[in-house]
Amino acid sequence: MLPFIQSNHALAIQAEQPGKGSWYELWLFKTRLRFRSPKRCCSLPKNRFYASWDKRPFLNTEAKPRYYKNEGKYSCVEVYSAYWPLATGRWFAKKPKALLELDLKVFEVCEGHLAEFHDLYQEDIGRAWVNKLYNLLSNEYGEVTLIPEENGLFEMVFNDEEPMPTVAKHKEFDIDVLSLNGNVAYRLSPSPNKVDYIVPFANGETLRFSFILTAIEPLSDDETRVVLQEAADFANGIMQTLHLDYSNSQ
Amino acid sequence: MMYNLLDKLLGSDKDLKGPNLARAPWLALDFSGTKLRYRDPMHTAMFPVNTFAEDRDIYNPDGYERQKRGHLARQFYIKGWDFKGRACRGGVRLSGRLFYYENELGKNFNCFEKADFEQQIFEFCHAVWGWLNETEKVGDLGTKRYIYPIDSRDLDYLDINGTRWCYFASQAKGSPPEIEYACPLSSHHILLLYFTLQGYSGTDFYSPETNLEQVTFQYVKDFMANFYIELSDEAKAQQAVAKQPL
Repeated sequence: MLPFIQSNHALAIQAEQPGKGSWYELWLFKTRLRFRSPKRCCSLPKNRFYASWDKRPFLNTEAKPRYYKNEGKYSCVEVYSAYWPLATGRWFAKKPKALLELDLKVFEVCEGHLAEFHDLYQEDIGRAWVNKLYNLLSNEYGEVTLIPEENGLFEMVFNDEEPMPTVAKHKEFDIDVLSLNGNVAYRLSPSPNKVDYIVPFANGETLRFSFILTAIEPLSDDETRVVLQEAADFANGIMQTLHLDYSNSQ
Repeated sequence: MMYNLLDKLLGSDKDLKGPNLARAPWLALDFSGTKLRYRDPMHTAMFPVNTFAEDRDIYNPDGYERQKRGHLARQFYIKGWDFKGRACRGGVRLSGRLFYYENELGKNFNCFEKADFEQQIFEFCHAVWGWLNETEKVGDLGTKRYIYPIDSRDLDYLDINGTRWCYFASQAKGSPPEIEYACPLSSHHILLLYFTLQGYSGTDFYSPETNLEQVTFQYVKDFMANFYIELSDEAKAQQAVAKQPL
């Protein structure tokens, strides 16, 4: 039965099956990336803003235009974003309660680290780099002073003379090594609502598929358990359709 | 069906059209007895042309420009050709240059000798692109932002219509290449054809949205296949005495 006319009281992702979505195709210079991006069957609440980007059909990963360069750490660029609501109710009264977002970016090893991380296809090197990258990402906000305010937000202070002391935050992430249609991939869960897949497509360059689950309304413990499982299965379903076709000239 | 019809009526970016070389008129030049003959399609690119190909006395230093290294150089030909599909997506620009190593006269120097010829090519490359890599000596790529030939392994040779051409490419990573073809015209002259391939604003040269990469490379090949050089008797004699020719 088509998902949008399904009578569904359980919280479920309102989209096509991952294996049946339309192909997302992008050329990373001479390498073709393909995966299925399921079409969603439910829209977002009107008060919810969603920024999206899509670099199709081509990203020049050699010239690297519009890359964000975090000097001495990594370079990255946004490639694609999508979201799928998780909702209950009948087809005419679907109300999203949570949202699964996909944020696809290219991350590149910085020049200074190339000697150490020269081949991300090698499991030990790839795993070490992913660990380093996530430590760099999680420590980024440790470099500015954050002053808590009464309303629960933080004031960011730049150019301060005496930054607040930051705790050494090196962490060993639990990284699984997978094979997705013959492509090596690293999977980790940096937080309970997030699962990331890092797929190398060149010696020093990777794609990062980040699946983030956010609640729109408060969820019960049972619902939380269900949506986490749904989201993890859905993300895994998409990743199982990933293909990288390398040109002969590389 | 509809797309096919639109492509036929309005053109397709996956089937870009450039000048038709087979229908272009021939241009014949006489450089002090050495004859050049090649197809000369109409200039269609959006830049003004201020150099017009004509017969020249290539031994007369007047009309050349003195270069920093002491030799002389002049541009004898420039033209550009657009490649169009649904819109104008890119093009090829050709600059023909002649180098006269007048400062080497009287020395043991012969452009038909491989070593002398290649040294001049490396020095030319260093002068044109070396500063981009912040390098100060020939043979060093410095920061490697720009890749160009620095030793013999980076040069290729090809026989086209009886002439031995040296060809090489230079480019910044991920950018369209510049393709150069060079050959000696006399013991002290080198002819250089400098093709610049480019995607116009909004079109990445390598993007699969267009076939710009394939069509421009093919155009350069076809252009060169229609290039004929007949050396003067004097140049032939100079070529004959070369101990290690190209």
